[in-house]
Amino acid sequence: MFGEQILNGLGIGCAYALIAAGYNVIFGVLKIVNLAYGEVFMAGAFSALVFARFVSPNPILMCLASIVGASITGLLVHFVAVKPLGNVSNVNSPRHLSVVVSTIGCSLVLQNLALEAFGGYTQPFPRFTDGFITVGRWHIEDVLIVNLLVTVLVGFTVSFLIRRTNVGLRLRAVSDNQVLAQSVGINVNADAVFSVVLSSALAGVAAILISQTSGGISPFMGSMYGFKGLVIVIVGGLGNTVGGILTALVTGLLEALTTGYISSSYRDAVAFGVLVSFIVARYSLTSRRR
Amino acid sequence: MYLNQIAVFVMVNCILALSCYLPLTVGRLFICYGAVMSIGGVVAAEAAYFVPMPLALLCGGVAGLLYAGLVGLICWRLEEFLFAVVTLAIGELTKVLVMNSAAMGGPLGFKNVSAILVSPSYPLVFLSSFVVVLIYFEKSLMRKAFHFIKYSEVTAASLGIPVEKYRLLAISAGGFLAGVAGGLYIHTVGIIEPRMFGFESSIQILMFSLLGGYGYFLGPLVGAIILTITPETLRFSTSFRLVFYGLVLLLSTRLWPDGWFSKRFSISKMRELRGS
Amino acid sequence: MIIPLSNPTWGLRVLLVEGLTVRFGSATIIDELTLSIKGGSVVALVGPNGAGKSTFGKAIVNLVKTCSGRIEVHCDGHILPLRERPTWEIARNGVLYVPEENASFEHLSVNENLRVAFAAMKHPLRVTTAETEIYELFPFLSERLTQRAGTLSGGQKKLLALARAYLMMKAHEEARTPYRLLILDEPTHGLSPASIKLVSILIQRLSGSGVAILLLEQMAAFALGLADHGHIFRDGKIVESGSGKDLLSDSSLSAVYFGISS
Repeated sequence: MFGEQILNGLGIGCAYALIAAGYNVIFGVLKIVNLAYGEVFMAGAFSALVFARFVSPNPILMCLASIVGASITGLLVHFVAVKPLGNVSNVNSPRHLSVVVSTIGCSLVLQNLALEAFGGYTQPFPRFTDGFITVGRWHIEDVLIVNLLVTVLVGFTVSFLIRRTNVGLRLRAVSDNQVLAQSVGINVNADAVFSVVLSSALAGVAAILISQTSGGISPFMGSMYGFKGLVIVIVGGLGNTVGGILTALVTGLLEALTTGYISSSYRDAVAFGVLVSFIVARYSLTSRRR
Repeated sequence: MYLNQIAVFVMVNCILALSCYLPLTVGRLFICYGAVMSIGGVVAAEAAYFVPMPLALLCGGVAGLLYAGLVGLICWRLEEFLFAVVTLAIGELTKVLVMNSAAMGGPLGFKNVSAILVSPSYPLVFLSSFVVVLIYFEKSLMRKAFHFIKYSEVTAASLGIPVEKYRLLAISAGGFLAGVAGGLYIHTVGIIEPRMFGFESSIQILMFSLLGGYGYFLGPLVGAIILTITPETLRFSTSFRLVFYGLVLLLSTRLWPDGWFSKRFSISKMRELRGS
Repeated sequence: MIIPLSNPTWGLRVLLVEGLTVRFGSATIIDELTLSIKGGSVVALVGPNGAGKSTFGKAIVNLVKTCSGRIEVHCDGHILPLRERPTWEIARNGVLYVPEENASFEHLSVNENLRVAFAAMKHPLRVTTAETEIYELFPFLSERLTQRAGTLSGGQKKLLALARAYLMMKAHEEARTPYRLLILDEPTHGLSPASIKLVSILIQRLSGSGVAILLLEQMAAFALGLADHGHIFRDGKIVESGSGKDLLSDSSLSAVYFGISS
């Protein structure tokens, strides 16, 4: 039972890791935190659902639908709420507050449009496979294994993209020193758009993973997972990809263990409580050195 | 009768707007007043069984003050962005805890109310007294100190201003206002649902200040009045109302990135301060 | 001076700045500045700190907002106005600004710092001979190729930035980009005399191959010694102009730096 919970936790942690990676990509390149990212994620999930209902329930195609839906939403958010407020390279500048507010506005609009369109109830999401394998006394669902494999695959691909390709080099340069990147000829706006698409695609994949493990989706999932993802990213360190992934996995484990051994309704409370304590402990203590 | 209720809602929202305005004067986004208000409401409702209503409302205010102060202490040394996120998180945390607690009514909400207020006299009295206090506050030296803190915390500290104490003061004072508003709310509506504790509600309170501007206390009041009346006149369903709110946020950041009242305040006040 | 046959702009005006004004709020940083640079020449703009030299360099590549005036690069009758273009477009056209501070990508490796410019160009370029030159001039670069640029000393970071600029200019030469202008903002700041010598070698090689170079410097002796033409800059205006050698002995130079009235 313990082992199964660990695997469950890892499965959810994988999805959180992808969300955290998405936040980090945006933060790294644009130096803002997109508080509408949860809604991008939710849009991906619903795009897949709508696709399944009207076109085809093929898993691979649904994944693609989710990625496309999330990307379109991500670009929409970028061009409506982020770009018009100008380039923000200093995290503490007053414009940054405007971006926070404007992305919150965007998230409200998107979430409530989805509420109007789909209703507030949790919609069942088709499971791709109900099979499971048995290892000793453990009963592992196929879905979990697929989740883990997909995450690892995506992780390696994105890592390769960022480290070995020209595009990745440009993104890292922009993230390091935006002004200098402009002076050497990097089209910062185009690369910003690319990073938006990349992070939205990550959200789309995460949406599929979550929909598999939780069995249902609702317009509120954007708030819930988006916010959790945000807190995870902050604990892991904004901009710190590895830290975000590790924190995500730990959070997944924490949630699974709470659900298994305490009660599922306290799951979120425990997760938030632990994460908040971490933030407070880590940031309050280190800032004393100021 | 209907107009009566709208008037009450407008006044309660005005008080809430003022509560969120106070931390904004020291440059902090405290996105937790939904939870503060709800706690204040619960305490006020319980107290109303034992003491007369005005006193019960004040108890709600004190509870709000203590709770907001606690959250402020938890976030004692966090910088602005983290501060906002953690207050948001604490609000959500409180919501989850409340939803699971039978004593607080569980998922259906807290309904243990002894009396329902019908007349707008209580909200009016409280709102007017708060407004009077704020008029004096805006002219005070402390307000100027707050402005310095908002402009640059490090500089303010080097001038001898007790930055962190003032911040806590602003947050707790806001907590008192929110607590009173919560008490007024629960005695008008009769119930506090768990979602009032959460982030949506806290964001809506923040929005009053963001739309109206947060340089002078009139800004949030104007924002509260506009944002409470307009959806009523437009008769939207809840979701569209929130879509409308979101659009308002988007527009306001485009048109007035710093809120339309704050520019006026900053420029004239900075000139005054430079003169002195 | 050997005149490269393939360079169409040699001796002709490549950069024209006319009536440029830059203001920050109520302060005028640059006041009606007019200046032109010829292809293949080194032009020095010297003046004390705060005169506005950096602002001028940044204004050319549109890193600061300009209020009025004309900034154009010329070649063979083609004129490219720079004022409204985004900085990366200007850089892709061969006008490169090397800042005084933060001139390197701290988190990228030395190798990546050198390559980052090519990552932005549309056509893949091979500049192997230029690379060998760079490693000869700056051996420490080849020793530390995979290390993060943040681990280099301040002077080494500057040299890295210059090396990158050199490679970029060579790449533009290969791509036959018509407008080639390099703006160096205080390239000697914080460097040892030996390193400064290397910098002057680089500058000479570049101008020898037809790149126009604008040197914004506080160290008047170095800049004017290297330059064909110079301007003394103070408070946003050009106070005196002339050939490099003439200006070195000009009395207004000391007046500008030391406030001595002549």
